Amino acid sequence: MHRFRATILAALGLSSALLASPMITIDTMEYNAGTIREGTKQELVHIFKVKNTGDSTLRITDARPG
Amino acid sequence: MVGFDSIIPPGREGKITQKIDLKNVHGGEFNKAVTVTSNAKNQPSLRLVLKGVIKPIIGMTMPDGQQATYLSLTTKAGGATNELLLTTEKKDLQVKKVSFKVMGGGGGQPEWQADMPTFINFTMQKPDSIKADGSMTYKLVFAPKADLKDSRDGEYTIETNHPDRAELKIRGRLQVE
Repeated sequence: MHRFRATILAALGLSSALLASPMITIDTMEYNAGTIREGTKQELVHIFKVKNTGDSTLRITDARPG
Repeated sequence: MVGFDSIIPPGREGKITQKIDLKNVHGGEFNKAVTVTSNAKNQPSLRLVLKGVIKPIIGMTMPDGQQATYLSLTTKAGGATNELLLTTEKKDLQVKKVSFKVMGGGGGQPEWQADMPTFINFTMQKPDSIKADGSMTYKLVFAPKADLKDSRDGEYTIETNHPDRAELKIRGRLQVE
């Protein structure tokens, strides 16, 4: 019985380690900067905040226009 | 241009910074996307969008209210509507000169002639009211003469007295009837 329980626990531990995964969460995928008068801004900068809601390291490998 | 945090530990926040150069954006809507690739289990690839509208110093619209991106004028009297609306906050906007330059190949015309601008006659009607946002709409009515032998594609240049927008350029066609 003890042995059986230990096996189950070991299996659970193993599966949770295998399932540990990074998850990306972002509130706003689209940001509307509204109306900008021509000539008032040379550049528009926006910071999108992303959260890792998973249980292992999130690695962003690339972020490019397009 | 895009910058990003490459490593985000569990429970933490990271930044993806998008920069858009607005120096050459004179008017209209813009919509720029960024594709983010990561090892995220839920969304290995996601698309972020930064958008907005640039209100031009002098906006060009067609008589139907659509943003003008192409201007087709005709020498035929009473033909297609030879009109362009200019919207600006400047009270005493004046147009000094309107010219048309043939673009995209000689097409039977000597090169020197293709380089010569064709001057377009015009009249401008002053706005009769000021809109809530402080802008006014001037109506430019063109009366081109048949200086060219045949209809050509090219670019119109509208010279104004506006200190921040001395020249408006718009691609188009001069239809010789």
